[in-house]
Amino acid sequence: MFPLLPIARAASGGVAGDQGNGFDGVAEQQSSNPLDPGDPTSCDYWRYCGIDGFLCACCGGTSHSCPPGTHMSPITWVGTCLNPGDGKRYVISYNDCCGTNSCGRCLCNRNESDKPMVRPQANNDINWCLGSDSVTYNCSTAVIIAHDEG
Amino acid sequence: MSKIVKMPTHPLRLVPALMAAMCALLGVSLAQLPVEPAPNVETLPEKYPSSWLFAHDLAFYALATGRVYIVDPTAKTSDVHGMVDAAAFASFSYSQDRGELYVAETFYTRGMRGDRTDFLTIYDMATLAIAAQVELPGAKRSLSVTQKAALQVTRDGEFLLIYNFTPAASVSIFDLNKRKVVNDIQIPGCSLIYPHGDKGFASFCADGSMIAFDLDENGKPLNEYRTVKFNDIDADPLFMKFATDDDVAYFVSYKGFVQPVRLAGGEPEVLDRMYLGGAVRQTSYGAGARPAGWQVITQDRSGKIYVLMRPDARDGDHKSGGSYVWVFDPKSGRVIREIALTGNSISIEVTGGRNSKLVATNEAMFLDIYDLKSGAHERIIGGWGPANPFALHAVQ
Repeated sequence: MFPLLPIARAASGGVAGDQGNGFDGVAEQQSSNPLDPGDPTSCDYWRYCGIDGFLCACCGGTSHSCPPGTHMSPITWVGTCLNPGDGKRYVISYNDCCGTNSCGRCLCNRNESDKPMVRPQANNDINWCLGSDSVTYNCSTAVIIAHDEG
Repeated sequence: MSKIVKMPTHPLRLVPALMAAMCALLGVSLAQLPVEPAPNVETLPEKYPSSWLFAHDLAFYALATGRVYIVDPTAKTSDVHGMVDAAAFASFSYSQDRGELYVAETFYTRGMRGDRTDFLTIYDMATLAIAAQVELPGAKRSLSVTQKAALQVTRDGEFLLIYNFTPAASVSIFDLNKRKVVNDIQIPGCSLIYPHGDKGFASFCADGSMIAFDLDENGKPLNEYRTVKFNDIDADPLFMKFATDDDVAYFVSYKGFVQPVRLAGGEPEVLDRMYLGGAVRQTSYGAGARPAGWQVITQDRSGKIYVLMRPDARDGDHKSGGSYVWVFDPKSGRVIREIALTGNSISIEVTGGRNSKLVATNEAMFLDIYDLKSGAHERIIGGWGPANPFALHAVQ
C-alpha cells in the first residue's frame, strides 16, 4: 500500500551500491540463499519492486510473513518482479499485515507494476487490510505466489 | 519603649525604585497587562477566503490520527488557523455555501480493535465544532491514500458522494439537507467520483471507459451512460487525480497526455487529448519529463492546468514526485510556462485571490509556498511532525 513515495526510497538511501539497508537504526538481514539475494530490510530488495508501506522484515515479520499479533490480509494486489538470483520473474503478492497500529519502520515505496486505483488488483494506494477483521494497517509483505511464465 | 532600628537598605531593594525612576524619565508607562479571559477559543470566518487551503494529513505513521489543517499560504505569521480530525484513511470535502466541512472516517470501538464504524463527521466552518456525526451503514467506505475523488459534493450542493470499496465498488448518496444516506449505487469494476452535471457523478472503469449517472432529487439514477474506452490502462493510464474548469475535468497520463472529459450531465463527452510534450522546446526538461507524484494536477482560476513534472522519468516513477510544474493552456494546447520548484515535490495546488500561490508538498512533508505570478519561493509552512499532507484542497 501507500505512496509514501519514492521519497521513502530516496530518503532511505536504499539504492543499489549503497552501504547497508539505508535505514538508520535498523540491522541488516543479508540473505544466505543465493537464489534469493539481498536484504529484506532494504527497499532495494528485489521482491519489493511494487511495495508501498512499512517493511514487515523490520517489524517482527519477514519479507513474506507478518509480525506476531497481526494478521495477514487475505486479499491484496499482485505484481511481478525480476529476481537477480536466477534471472526469472516471479508473481509477488503484497499482503498487508493488519490489526495493530503502523509499524513505522523501513518505509518503502516502489511502483514498478503499479496501475491506478481503477485497476485495484494492480494498485498499491489501497489499504489492503480491507479484507481483514481490522482495517488497521501495520506493515507490508512480498510473498512469492507463482513464477511469471509470461 | 520601643526602639526604632533603622536597618541598612540592601542594594537590590533599590532596583524597582531605580527602574521606576528611569521609566518615568523615559516616559514609559508602568501599566500592567490586562487580565485575560479564559476559556478563550478562536473562531474562523463563516466563509473562508479563497486564498486559504486545506492540507489533508494522511498520518501514515499513526493512521488513526489523521487531520486536516486549515492553512493560509499568504500569511507571514499565524499561517495555520486550526484543524479537524480525519481518522483512518479519511476522505475530506467541504461546502462554502453551507459553511460545513465533511470528513468520512473510520473508528474502532477500542481504538485499533473492536467493532468498525464509519462516520461522516460534519464540522461548522466558523467554530470547527461538530455539527453532526452520522454513521455510514455497512462499514464499506473506501480506505486508500487521501485523494479528492473519494469524497465529492455534487455541483448543486445537495448531495455528498462517498466512494465505497470492499472490494465491491459503490457510491453512497448522502443528502446534505436530510443528513442521511438516501441511496447506494453499485459501480462494479469502476472507481472514484467526479462531479457530472448539477446532480450526478462519473467514475473511471477498468475497461478504459467512464460510467456516469444523472441523479434525481432522491439520489436515484435518472440515466446511466457509458463512454467509449479511452483510458489505456496497460500502456499509458490516466492518473485519477483531476483538475476542473467549469464542467470539463482534465486528467493527465503517465506519459504526459492531457485528457479532457466534459462532464456536464447527460452523455459525457470525451474530448481530444493533447500532449504536454508538444511544447518541449519551451521548457528546461522536455524529452523524458513525465507527470509524477500524488496530486499531480490542478488548475488556477483562469482555467490553466498545472502539472507536476519529473525530469528524466522512467517507468515506475509515476509517484516519485517532480521538481517542475508545467502550466498548460487547454485553449492553445501548449505548455505556456515552467515553474522550477526548490526540490522534489509530491502534490501541488493553486490558491485563489489576488495573491495566488502555488503550494507544493515537499519531501520533508512541509508545504513550499511559491508566488504564482513570479514563481518565486516565498516560505515553508510545516513543523507539524511526521505528517503526510498529500491532498491539498484550495478553497473555492
